[in-house]
Amino acid sequence: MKPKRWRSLTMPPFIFLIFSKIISFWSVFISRWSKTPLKQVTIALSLPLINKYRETMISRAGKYVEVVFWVLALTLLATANPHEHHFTLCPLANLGFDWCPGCGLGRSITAIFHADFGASFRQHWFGLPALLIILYRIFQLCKQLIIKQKNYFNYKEV
Amino acid sequence: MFDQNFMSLPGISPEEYSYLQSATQGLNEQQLRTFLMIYSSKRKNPSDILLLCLIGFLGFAGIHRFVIGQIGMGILYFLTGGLCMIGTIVDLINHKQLAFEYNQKMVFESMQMVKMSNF
Repeated sequence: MKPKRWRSLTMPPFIFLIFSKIISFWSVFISRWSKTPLKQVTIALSLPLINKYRETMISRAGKYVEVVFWVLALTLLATANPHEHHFTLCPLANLGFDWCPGCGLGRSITAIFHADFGASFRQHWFGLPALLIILYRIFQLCKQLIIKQKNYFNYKEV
Repeated sequence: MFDQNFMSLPGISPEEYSYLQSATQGLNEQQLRTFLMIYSSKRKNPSDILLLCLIGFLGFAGIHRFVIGQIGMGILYFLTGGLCMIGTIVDLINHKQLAFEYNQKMVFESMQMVKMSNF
């Protein structure tokens, strides 16, 4: 159960990292290799294509960082088991501090997904407002990503 | 024609540049000057957002969220220490996108002010 969930957390950024590494490595490799004059023409044709692809991929991924983060966080919290204590990502706890202002917030949100509001309030009083704020933020981000094209047209009319 | 004025905005990214170009297409010279005057005072520099975000590691997290007008997220970050610093780190990575999102709203607002001023 545990390793599977961990894998689902790390896989998307990992895949992105590998792809961007491969592409940047490939372009460097090609630019070195292209010093032999025979290959130069074909490489010269393909290099701008690769550079363009790398650029668009990075800028596209940058647009989705926040949505992916919030949605991933909420899905992981919704599928987590509130009664088992697993490893922690919290840097304060890992540094050895006992107290942290956000401690219990994750468990609190998990309890809301399990429809246990009393437990949620006991874990952290800010759990329900936090969930509502995050949901509103996801809604806002999605709206921006969808309506963006439309806004361009509005501006052009002016 | 007046595009070099956009270049003088501090910390401008290619995305913002192309966005400004498409937004200000129909404006004449006077309107564009007014637009730039309003917009450059409303705009937030991405590196300012980055600095405010870095304050989060000293214990005052979420000030950057207040500054770009997301009050709910600001309160959430402030009360939980930037979601146990994880949120602060994400915003550190994402600060350019946050600034661009705010600046897009400001383009819209200053555009409306230009329309109202009616030169």
